[in-house]
Amino acid sequence: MRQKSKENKKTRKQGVLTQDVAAIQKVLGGDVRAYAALVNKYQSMVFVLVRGVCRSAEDAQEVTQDVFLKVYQQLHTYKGNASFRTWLYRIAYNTAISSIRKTQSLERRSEAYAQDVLHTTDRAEEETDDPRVAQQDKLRSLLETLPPQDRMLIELYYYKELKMDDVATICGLTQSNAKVRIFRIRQKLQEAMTAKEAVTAEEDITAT
Amino acid sequence: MDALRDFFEEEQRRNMEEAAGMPLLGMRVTELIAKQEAARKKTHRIWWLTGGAGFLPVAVFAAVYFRGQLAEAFRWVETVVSQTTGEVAGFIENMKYALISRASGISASAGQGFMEKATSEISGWPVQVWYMIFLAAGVGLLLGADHLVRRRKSV
Repeated sequence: MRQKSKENKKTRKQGVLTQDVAAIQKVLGGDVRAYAALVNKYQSMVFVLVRGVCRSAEDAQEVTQDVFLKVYQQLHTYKGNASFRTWLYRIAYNTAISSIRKTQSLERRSEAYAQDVLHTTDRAEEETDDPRVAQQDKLRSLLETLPPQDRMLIELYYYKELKMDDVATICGLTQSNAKVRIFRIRQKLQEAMTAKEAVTAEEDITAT
Repeated sequence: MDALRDFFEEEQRRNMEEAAGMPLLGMRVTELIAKQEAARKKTHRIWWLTGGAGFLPVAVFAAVYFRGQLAEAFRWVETVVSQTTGEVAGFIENMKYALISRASGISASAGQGFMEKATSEISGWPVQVWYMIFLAAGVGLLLGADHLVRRRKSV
């Protein structure tokens, strides 16, 4: 039963791959409508990936658009060695990282702007009594302190649809290297969380 | 570290909700691509026109001013090209006859009565030689057909 479902999954995957390759051939032949269909098919997937590292949904939408413009320019270089999805993720990964870098350098140039953005982020960072929400806010702020590559790596690692070898391919790392880096990032986050909790507890004691 | 997994799952769920509310980008992206292509073509055309407009008067001026030197240069190029092509053609011709002579055992100078010599040589071969040649050709044909049939099956 399990093997059958695995086989079904494999067949479905191959079907998608063949469909993608056919669509790519059409696009390379000059069919623009085929590209529009390809964009519509994968836009949510790319959006979800880049949204994790963009401050707002609008930014993520813009990066998604940039990703598809780049994909169109580089489509002739797609050899079909990896699945189209992995190849697309790799371009999305690079575009998202350069977008983060651009944002960070802009923020560094203008401190006032950075302050403004921090206060107007989409995701509320207000004080809350719910410990789960408070922990998520802490994690979010900790993730923002990570270098862009590490942030993307951990995002991809927890992205349900991707396997470890896909994550490594997208980030341009070997599988073992990716594993080691993910382990270190998780350790770092855990340490930072513990330290932050200790500081909060100390502050609470001082207040009482 | 379950907190981390929970966090990312929650984030992904929220991101997926946002993605579902996003308008379809296909048409917008293709429009942008068309605009970019048009702009690129326009820039290309401008470069070509500017380059051409600049090059043409320079070329005309140079041709008029250096007429003597230009004629000499063209003559030199013509001589070199004709010499080189002559040498290459001679080399290929010699090589061809040398190879045929070595393979068939018929010696002949380049071109002169080669075919006549080859025909008389071949017609002088005994029946046994012809028998062996046809046998080898038949076996080769069968092997080739077998190979083709097998290859077709495997596909």
